[in-house]
Amino acid sequence: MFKKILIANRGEIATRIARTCREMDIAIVAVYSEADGSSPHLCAADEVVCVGPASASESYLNIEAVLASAQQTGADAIHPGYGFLSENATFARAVHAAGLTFIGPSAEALSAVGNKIFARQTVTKLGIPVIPALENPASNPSVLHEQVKPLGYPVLIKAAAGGGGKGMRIVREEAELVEAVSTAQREAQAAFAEGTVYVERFIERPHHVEVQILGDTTGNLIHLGERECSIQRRYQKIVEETPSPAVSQSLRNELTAAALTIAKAAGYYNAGTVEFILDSEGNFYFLEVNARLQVEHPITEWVTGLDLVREQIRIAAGESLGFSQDDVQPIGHALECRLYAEDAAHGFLPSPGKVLVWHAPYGPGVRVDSGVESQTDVPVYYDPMMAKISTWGIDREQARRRMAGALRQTAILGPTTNLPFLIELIDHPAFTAGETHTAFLPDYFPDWQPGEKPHTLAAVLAAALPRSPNNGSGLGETSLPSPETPTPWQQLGGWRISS
Amino acid sequence: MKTTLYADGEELTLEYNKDGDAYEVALNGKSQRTQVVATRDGAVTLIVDGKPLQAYVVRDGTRSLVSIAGLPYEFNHEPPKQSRTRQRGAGGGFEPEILSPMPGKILEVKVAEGETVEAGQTLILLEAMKMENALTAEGSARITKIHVSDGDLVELGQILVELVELELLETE
Repeated sequence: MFKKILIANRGEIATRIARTCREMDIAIVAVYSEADGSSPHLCAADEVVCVGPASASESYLNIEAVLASAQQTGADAIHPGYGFLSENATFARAVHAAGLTFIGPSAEALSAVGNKIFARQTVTKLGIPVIPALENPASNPSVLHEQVKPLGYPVLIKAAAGGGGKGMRIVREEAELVEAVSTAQREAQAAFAEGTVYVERFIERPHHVEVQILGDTTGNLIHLGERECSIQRRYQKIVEETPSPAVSQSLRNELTAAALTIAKAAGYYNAGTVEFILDSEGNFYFLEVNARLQVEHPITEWVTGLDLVREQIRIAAGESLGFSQDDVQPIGHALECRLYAEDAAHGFLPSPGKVLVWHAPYGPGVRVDSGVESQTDVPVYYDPMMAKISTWGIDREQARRRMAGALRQTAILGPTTNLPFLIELIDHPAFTAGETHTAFLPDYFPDWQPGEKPHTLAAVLAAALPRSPNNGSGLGETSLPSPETPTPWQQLGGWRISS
Repeated sequence: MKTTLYADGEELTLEYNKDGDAYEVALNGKSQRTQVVATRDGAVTLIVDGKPLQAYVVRDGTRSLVSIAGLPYEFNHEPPKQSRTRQRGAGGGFEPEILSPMPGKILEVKVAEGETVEAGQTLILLEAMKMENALTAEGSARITKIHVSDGDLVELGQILVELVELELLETE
């Protein structure tokens, strides 16, 4: 087993990976950029190394700097998390060449599945349906227009090396095509250091369903069921659940069998996810393989009882799975909400800034994976996700009610967040009924604005209560009402603006 | 006793009178019986008309931010300053300034001063948190002033481009 792991990531996932390392008695090296010097993920580590300036391409995406940090600290393995270098075959090869272990699939499997165009071609040969697409969009505008015509609009532009919605653009009319392609190419270049894009037919109102797979280096390969990830904005997920309300047992059997076929053909080991699009008639199409730990892995952990990071580390260290497909019997239902620093009332625009108050929810069946603390920054340079709240219940409704309660127990002040939006979403009748599809937001929450807030009087009161003079951010002890000490009401006069 | 806070340009007047171990609290004349049960660092528990509420509070300059039941409230302890009146088109009309909708980095200024642009034409590409956003013209207009250049870091609400609606020019 490894003695020291370098975590080549930031935010909540770096903290989450560190937890498992700690549990396994593995020393932890955290890396950070100059913008992340006070980031909470550093506190979870035994050693920290700065890998460069704020811009991700110069720090978290900087292969040489990350590798040098691993060698300098004597780490024997690197966990890439998700995003950044996690699906970069060049990085995996460089880690291996440096005599260290990359915690993830082999570089060969990464290349095979990581390039979405190549993956589509491979999967087609296996007899698994894929969405019709144009794999080599021309740079000449008129040629491009001719190429895209047979697909029919709308189309979706995607980054070949992409994931997480970065570089994705939907195009409804020919007139938007050329600019959308070049925008997607730039976004892809910025996010993945690889600007190749392809154009796919866009399926309306599909379900986005993915299968978690887990394989070891001795040939054991199993699935851990599916996750429903249809509720998205900007082509990025915000609410996920398992099992999917849209998947019957027979469909589950087909989906998981297809996922395992693909993984096997790619020689895939470690944790991975095979994504599918499910149309309204129940047809499924292969979408892509995410050759890494997914953001939404906690919901699979809830229902299976497994720690996916632990399994990843064990597999990377050469251990065998030690359990079979039949040993995996998911129990209950799990939901995850992603808490973003973004303004749901204004096109979900990112809203970076300083977090002044962060209070995480807790209770039976509630888990929080957080990358923030009070008085820390959400930098403008990276993804605006701050935390993931997941809940488990014996059935979907219990998980949903626990989520509704957990969200209301959460307090985050400072940046504008999507928390008020999530609170409404979770209680929406269509969500309660399990009508999740990728057009859920435009269909049920077009131009969402926050509703009337019920507790204005209490909020004004809380704001008006005095603070102790030496503590600008908290309430003073003296504001406890008792006959002996001045009550908050007597002290309130201090805040009076006009008499 | 009386205190005044401000939210969204609205004045919130809070009046309170002791009544036994509780207080009769009125916000803009609407009154509710309230008890302060406990306060601790950054949090206060209230009972408003029999309903216990946990409020998280933080003071940030002249603002107080409060979270109750997951929802954020923002108040200012000082009256809002008269904001500089901008020449806004009345009733959601043409905006003569393009403001940055978020903090971020200018990827590309796609127009030049003096240039005429069409409705929907991209003026500026702005990147924040790795997403690219196109800021577009809402009508035919002439660019009168550009305040930023490629690579600049900008704040929320910063003026990026000034422009004059073409129709306006023609009628002048």
